[in-house]
Amino acid sequence: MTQTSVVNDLANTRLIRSHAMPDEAAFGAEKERPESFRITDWSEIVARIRDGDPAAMEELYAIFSKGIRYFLLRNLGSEDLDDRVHDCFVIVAESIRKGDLRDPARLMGYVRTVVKRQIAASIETAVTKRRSEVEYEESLFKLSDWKDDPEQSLLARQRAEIARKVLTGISTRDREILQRFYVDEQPQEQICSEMGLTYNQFRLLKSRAKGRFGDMGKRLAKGMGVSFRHAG
Amino acid sequence: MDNRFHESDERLELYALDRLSDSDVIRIEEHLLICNSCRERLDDAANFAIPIRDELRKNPTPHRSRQTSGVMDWLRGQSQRWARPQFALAGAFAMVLVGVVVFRPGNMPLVPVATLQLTAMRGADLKSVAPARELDLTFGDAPVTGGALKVEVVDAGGGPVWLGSPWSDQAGVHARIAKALPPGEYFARLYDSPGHLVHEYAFRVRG
Repeated sequence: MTQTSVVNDLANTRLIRSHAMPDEAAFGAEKERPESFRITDWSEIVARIRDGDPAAMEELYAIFSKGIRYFLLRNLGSEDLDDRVHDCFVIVAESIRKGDLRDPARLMGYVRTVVKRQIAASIETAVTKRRSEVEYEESLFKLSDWKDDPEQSLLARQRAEIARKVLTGISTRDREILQRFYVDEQPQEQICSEMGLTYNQFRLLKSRAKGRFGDMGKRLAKGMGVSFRHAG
Repeated sequence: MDNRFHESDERLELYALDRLSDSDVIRIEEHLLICNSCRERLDDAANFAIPIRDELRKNPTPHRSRQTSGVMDWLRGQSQRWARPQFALAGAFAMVLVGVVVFRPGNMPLVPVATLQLTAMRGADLKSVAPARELDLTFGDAPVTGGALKVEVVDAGGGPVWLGSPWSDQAGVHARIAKALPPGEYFARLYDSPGHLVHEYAFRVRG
């Protein structure tokens, strides 16, 4: 992977990397899931954007803006967030107008690709900027911390502490079950088979641990008078 | 690819833990772009699963249920013999030995050194290696820069894991990571002396 291709290669990675969500944290709150999901006719909205219908652009923005913000926030932080969301929409809209999006059914896939490229380009820019501003020896260990901020670090430390307390409070056997699933990445079928569990027992164990984690998080949040969920 | 439907909590958790296939990741991410409900549930899943995983990695629990039950079965089968006085001392000694073997932390000894040949070719399969106390990396297609190189290894979350200077021979550029890496995905980044990223390599330490 050469330096010039870093952006393209980063674009092939996931939109969310394997780390805890830095914002909008909700400790263990069970969410009610809607039974149905609105199906959008992408070809209709794409056709209207091609025809220059401003209302269609507003609809597109309403559908995708929160999702785009979500991924950008988690990967790049809140700095310049509105501008970045806007940039994504400009790229998508231009592509539609120019007819580059040949298959309207692939609109969601195209939006995802645009977001990934924006994230990759921003990371590359930040890395380059960082490298030019600090000594080489210093920069290597700080390449990945450009999006850290004190609030997120505090939240991460709190979650780690709660995780430690939850794991201290469960039996060795329950801890082994969690270890097999979360660290050893064993499939639940294997864990159930080797540890003599039913699927429901396995789910119940995880659910109880998650419930304890949520309760401790809520108590902590109440004690500190802070909210763990805030809009990005 | 149908992304109209909500994702289950289990699949969102696996996504947060980076354990889904590329095609599943694409489908979930396209759905997340337009579904606030699943985004909220993903946050819940990630905010629980990742700190728990990280804490368990820091303080691992040895697997012992299976081995323990095997030993207990054996002990039950031997109970008649153990009741006799002449076997009591030997039995107690055996128990201590069994305890040492079964309850030794880590349980699976790590091999001293594992080696891994990496290439930065796009589309190449992700190379994987068994856990070891040390890891020798060989960058087969590293460029000849003429200057000093640096190697940085980061984990899947971008956290720095190791930084050091590699050495070169005819087979390529080599780096020895003198520490055991926990199972997971890693990126090894090769920098030239001005600090420019030359190549990035991905690899996985198996669980």
